[in-house]
Amino acid sequence: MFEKLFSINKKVLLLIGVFVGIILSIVTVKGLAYSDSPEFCSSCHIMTQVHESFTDSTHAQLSCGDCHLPHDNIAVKLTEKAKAGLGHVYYNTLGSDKIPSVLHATDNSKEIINNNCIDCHQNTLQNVSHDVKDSCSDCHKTVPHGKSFKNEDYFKPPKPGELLENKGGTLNNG
Amino acid sequence: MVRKSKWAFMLFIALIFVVSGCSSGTNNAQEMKTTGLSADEISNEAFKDLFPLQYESYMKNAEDTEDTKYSGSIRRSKFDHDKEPYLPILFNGYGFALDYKEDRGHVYANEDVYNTLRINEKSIGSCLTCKSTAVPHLIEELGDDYWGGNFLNEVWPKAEAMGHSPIGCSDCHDPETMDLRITRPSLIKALASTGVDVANATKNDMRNYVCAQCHVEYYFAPSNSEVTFPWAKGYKPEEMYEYYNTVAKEQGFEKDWVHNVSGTPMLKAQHPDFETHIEGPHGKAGVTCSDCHMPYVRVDGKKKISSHWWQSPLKTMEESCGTCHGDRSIEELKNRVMEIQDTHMAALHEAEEVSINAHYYVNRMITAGAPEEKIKEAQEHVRKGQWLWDIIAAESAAGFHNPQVAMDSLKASSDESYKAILIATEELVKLGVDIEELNKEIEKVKKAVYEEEDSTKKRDHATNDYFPPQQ
Repeated sequence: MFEKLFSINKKVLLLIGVFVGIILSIVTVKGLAYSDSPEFCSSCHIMTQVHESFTDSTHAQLSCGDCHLPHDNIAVKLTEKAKAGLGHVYYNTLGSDKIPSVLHATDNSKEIINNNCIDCHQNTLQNVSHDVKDSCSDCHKTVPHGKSFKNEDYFKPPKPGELLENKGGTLNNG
Repeated sequence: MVRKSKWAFMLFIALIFVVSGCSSGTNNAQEMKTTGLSADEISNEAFKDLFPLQYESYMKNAEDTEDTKYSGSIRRSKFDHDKEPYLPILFNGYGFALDYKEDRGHVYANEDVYNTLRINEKSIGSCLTCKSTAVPHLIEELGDDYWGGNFLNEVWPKAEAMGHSPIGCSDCHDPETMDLRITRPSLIKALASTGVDVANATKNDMRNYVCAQCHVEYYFAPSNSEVTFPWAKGYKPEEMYEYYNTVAKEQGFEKDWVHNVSGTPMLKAQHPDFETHIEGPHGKAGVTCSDCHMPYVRVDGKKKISSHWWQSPLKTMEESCGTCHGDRSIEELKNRVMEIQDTHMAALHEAEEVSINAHYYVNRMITAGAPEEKIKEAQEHVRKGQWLWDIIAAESAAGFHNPQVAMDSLKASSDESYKAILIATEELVKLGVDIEELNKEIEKVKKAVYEEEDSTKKRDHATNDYFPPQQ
């Protein structure tokens, strides 16, 4: 098999190699980008509520990874992504009984998020002094999640049969 | 080869779904459109097998849980020294001076109402209204004969024969669809009196209303003894008092009892949890009773249900408070609640203190022969003063449901009681009564009540030769 491969004209081989490389990198980039996206993250029920509040926010055009992953360089980003991703996979499968009652950002996560706020909003920080609190979300606590802890369904007539449907409990984190 | 890998991939996905529990449960529920239970079902146990998670949660109401600082569900006398030791004076001449206990969980509702010493041969059906799941059927069957019927001889045996349960599933849920529903007509009528039509209730409203069927202030209408909520003029203590002095008076309802120390026609307040909450900071922000008292809790692996173990949110702070107040530590939040409750309870005890003095000053006015109209005037202030602290004391949150309204009411309460004391003092001085001796006698009776160990006998020490009973 290899003999056959080596018998091919080197230039053609190079061309095929470049082509395969392009395809592979496109797939990787697209794949990684997709796994940063709100669509992907919200495919687990536990993210339903944060996804709802996110899509209703001024940051709705961004992807989850834009705020929740570090962007110092690709290596740091991918390491953090792998770490977080493996954790999430574990908790959503075998470790489900270890999920805390209420989800909060970890200290590590808070730091990453805060750095990402600063990255984009650098200009604001230069124009207006921001030296009172420790983190952006100490004041801007409803950005982008948490504008409302209840979705609009709560303020409409109850849906008949809803409680019966959810009698076994829901996977939503709310 | 392609087909094989496709199958392997499908299997892998299916495995992930099975391990993560994504699909199970939801499918079964969708097939089942109704519970198959009768629309008239009132037994909690009938729901047990259909709703094992919720039933198990509900049955936790049977646990005598550790006391929170100011409440808890361990059945012991409210007259205990660390609670409200002077209530036998303040409610003297009324059942609440005889037997008043910390309330236990909903599962004990029937047992505890049947056993309280406040239920006697004269008690009426209305007393069962918030205890038994049979009540909606009893109202339907007996009409006014339910409300005014004899509790021990007519209404209770009938409820037992119907196979009733303590406050449970059917009180808030339609047994066929499990949709939330209102089963106590008193709430529907009371909301209508404020211009609200229950038929338009949102999901959020219903999460308040199911609780508001019972956790409210009420009186028995004089015409048919029906449980009635005094809401037509508003939810605030002053507004409800205004209602009692106008609308209720016109109906012929003037008092719950005549106070044995001051001879005042009194009102007894009952747990206005809904009224205080709905105008408080959380209520105004759209938070409902269920959000804090029935938080989503993880059961059965990772699925969440609404907790049916109704207790103080101080016991479920992570779920009840942490869901919204994620930017604060639970410790910080707890300290804030305790600050509110400590301040509140201190103010409550001060207001009660002044109220006690007011009752005894009026007693002395009567024995010293003060003018009738001055006694009446002072009694009106005593009545209002006691109402204003009692409506707050009867509430279950130690001020937390609405700190502002609670403190306002307690301040106004002290003002009213002091007005009574001022009128009394002026008259007593004119009559040459020794005020210092009066104050000493008040301390004496208080001490006697405090030191009596039998909680049912404490009330007997509130009156004596110096302060003769006025009933």
